[in-house]
Amino acid sequence: MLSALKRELLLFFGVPKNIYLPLSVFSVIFLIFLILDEGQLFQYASLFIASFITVLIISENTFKDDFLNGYIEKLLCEQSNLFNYFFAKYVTQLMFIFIPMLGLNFVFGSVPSGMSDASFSFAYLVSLLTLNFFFQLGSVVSVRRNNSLNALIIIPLLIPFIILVKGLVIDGMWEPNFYFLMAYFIFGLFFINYLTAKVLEIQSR
Amino acid sequence: MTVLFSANSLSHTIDGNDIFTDISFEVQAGTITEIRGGNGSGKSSLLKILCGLIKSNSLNTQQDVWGDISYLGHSNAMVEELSFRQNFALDRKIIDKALAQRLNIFRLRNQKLNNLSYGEKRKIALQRTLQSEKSIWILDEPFAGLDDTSVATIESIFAEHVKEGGTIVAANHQQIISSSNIIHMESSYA
Repeated sequence: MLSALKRELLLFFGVPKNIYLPLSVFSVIFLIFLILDEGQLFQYASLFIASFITVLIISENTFKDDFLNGYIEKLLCEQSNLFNYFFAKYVTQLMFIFIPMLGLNFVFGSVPSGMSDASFSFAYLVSLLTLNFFFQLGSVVSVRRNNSLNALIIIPLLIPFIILVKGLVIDGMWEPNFYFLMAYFIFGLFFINYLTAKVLEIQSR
Repeated sequence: MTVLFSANSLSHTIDGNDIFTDISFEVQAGTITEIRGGNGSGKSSLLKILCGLIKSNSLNTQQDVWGDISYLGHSNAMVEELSFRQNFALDRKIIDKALAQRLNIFRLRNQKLNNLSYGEKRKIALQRTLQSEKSIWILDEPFAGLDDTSVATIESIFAEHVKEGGTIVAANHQQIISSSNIIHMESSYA
């Protein structure tokens, strides 16, 4: 697991577009909404929309390069553990993309009223990771066809998620939204990642 | 001699088309096995069956082969935006200078892969397998894009690996590797 994490860290710093591209997209969308200054509701919605689009872009690139250059095929043929590889990807994304996104929100945006900074941060990061799991499944289904919009095929599975994240991040209602979010997260962490691994295996044959 | 892989009437189908049918063979430890055949005859698929990526009930495998395979597919599994040295660092490896000099690629260690020729990239990818501690090397077209001198060097490295008890299975449709066992594949396409 440690070697997979070291690989991902080196890859993140060796190919800087992995960091600056998603953060630039997030910043541009987020700041455009803020500049428009349409009031509180719009301000929180901007965070949600910017996060949604950023995660969609990240998910498209998470496995694509490694799939196209044959690294995933090599991992599978050498019977390496794909879950260590996934874990390393998520940790680096969390550290270098999702946490900076949260930081940008604290600098330029604000936290919904009635919610502490810590609760908001935790809920926001969990929702980003969950969204990432689902979009990644959508993008690996079409990894051979190289069509970024195919990640959107997963949207029907995300309708309840979007409703509860809106309740949590925009309306600031902790209960019961956070518990549903955690249920979604656990489902994504185990089942959706299992499906993603299986799809990658099928695509590599 | 230990039999690492054995197949009895092995067949493979893709999208309802038979790629190959009724192939039987044995791969023994400490040998070079070449899989030869034309385009579309299923050489790469057979390699993936040996690695366990494609499951088959007709293949018997020694339990301890898993985890002892170093695989090089059609693609080099390397990051084009990084240099030879950085690509090895990703795998927590240091370039074996003597081996890289034998392959005439040591001088390329700080160049990004996207500035190198196809053959140079292939040799870099091969070096990763050649300096692997794993004893079973499964290689898909290892000589593709290589000049005659490089092929001869790699053949001699293969011979050294086998002498030390290693095993090589390679899909190849270029010159025959000396003292190899050959599995002939014929396309089942009509």
